[in-house]
Amino acid sequence: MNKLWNEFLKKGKLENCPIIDIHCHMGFFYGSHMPYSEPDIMAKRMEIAGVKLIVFCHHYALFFPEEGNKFNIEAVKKYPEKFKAYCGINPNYPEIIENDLKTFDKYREIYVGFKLLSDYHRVSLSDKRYRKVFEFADKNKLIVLAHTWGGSIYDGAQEVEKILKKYKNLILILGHSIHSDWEKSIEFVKNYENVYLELTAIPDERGIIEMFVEKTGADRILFGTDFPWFNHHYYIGAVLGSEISEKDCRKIFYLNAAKILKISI
Amino acid sequence: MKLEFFDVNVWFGNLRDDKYRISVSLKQIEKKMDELNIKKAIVYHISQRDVYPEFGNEILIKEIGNKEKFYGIITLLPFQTDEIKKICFKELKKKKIVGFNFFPKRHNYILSKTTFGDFLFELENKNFPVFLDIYSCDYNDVYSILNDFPDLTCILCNLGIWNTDRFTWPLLEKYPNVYLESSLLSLQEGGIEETVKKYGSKRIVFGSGFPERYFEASILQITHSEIEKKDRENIAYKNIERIIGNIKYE
Repeated sequence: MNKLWNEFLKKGKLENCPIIDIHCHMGFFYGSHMPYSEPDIMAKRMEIAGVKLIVFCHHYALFFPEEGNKFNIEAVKKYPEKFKAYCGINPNYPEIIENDLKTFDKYREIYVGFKLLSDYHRVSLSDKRYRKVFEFADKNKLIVLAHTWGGSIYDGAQEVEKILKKYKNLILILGHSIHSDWEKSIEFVKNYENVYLELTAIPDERGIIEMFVEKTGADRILFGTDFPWFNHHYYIGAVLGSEISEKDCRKIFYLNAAKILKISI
Repeated sequence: MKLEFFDVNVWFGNLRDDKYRISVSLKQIEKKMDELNIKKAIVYHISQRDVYPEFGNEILIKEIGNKEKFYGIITLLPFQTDEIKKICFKELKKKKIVGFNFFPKRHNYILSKTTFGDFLFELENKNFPVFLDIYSCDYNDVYSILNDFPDLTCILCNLGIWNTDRFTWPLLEKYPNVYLESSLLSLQEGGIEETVKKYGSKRIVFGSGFPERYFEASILQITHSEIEKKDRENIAYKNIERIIGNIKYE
């Protein structure tokens, strides 16, 4: 057990080991009761576990095309030190995408890149409706967080590889690390320099974090929780419980994210 | 002072397909429990679920027999097939058995009044806990059983990955002896805090889901949850001690 465990257990958070959560959401959601999903309470809850920064995409930006990314912008403006956003992309509404890309530069303090949710929007990552987004992200070396899930025809390994083969400059975060198709996600980390694994929906299954670190090292694993779906302390405890080294925990908790976000910690 | 724990959701033994090397022996669990201040645990052997219940029950009883920290739960099948030995409650006390679990999906039967009627009635009267694993039955089964046996002491385990308040809160509201095992409630953001706020801390019992999940995840969450110290202690160990203390073995 590395020494971070004892310190986290005692204090709940550590000044010298902040957390950056790279995969978050915000707002209410049809399929689940989420009592702590509004900006004010989220900002407060982040304090408990020493979460310095979250990068999120509001549920409404993904599911409520009428208002698009308005909710992302408002939340980051309110908590600019704690929140950064992904511009939510719904490929079924190309006119909104057009506008988001046109105005993206205006919101460079808000956005770090784009969030794609292909399984829910039922459009494959390689579909032409996403093309402008990938081209924009590639040209500007932005982050794209894509929900990825093993076996999915929309965002499973086959679709992910098509994107990786084509776009070499953007940073592709595999949300959920192509859940359950671990061998493929590991293979992609070995074969492509611009891809990162992300932990949401993984720490509730013992053994996967250990396997990732053993097979890929910890340099391209990012801490993500889907917060406010899942609890930060639960995820932190799981990473610490995986018995990887303190150095690797730090990489996962904040060092790798700080690097791709180009921020100093 | 460091919070102590009594874990109600642990299994041991070797998985037949241990892809991620998670299988553990009781001895390994004991070592880990000592490190983490988990004073006691309620366990079952994985062969109760994955090999054959009666075979696994025997292993369980033998393994926990001389180990002070452990209590056991026995897996049941419908009695009609005579695959499970007749239950003698007095004997169960000696064997440190504190509950029964069921895996209806995996073991191919219907968990219902038709299947277990008289026996569940007896458990209800004896305050003998049943551990219902939501991975192995579903909320429809739970609702049906509790409708027929409203005073049954029922510990719902492995509640589900997505927030489960919409399933569990109506049960907490209606049935006084329903308890939630905490492992996946801890996973859900605000799950512990909001349940305590609405139904009090006496309705949650600590569990980790080890070795499928991490002890440390549940421990860190409960330790730093935004609830009062007395509530944390209730969840961590007091509630399950009270539940076990209420069992009528005679």
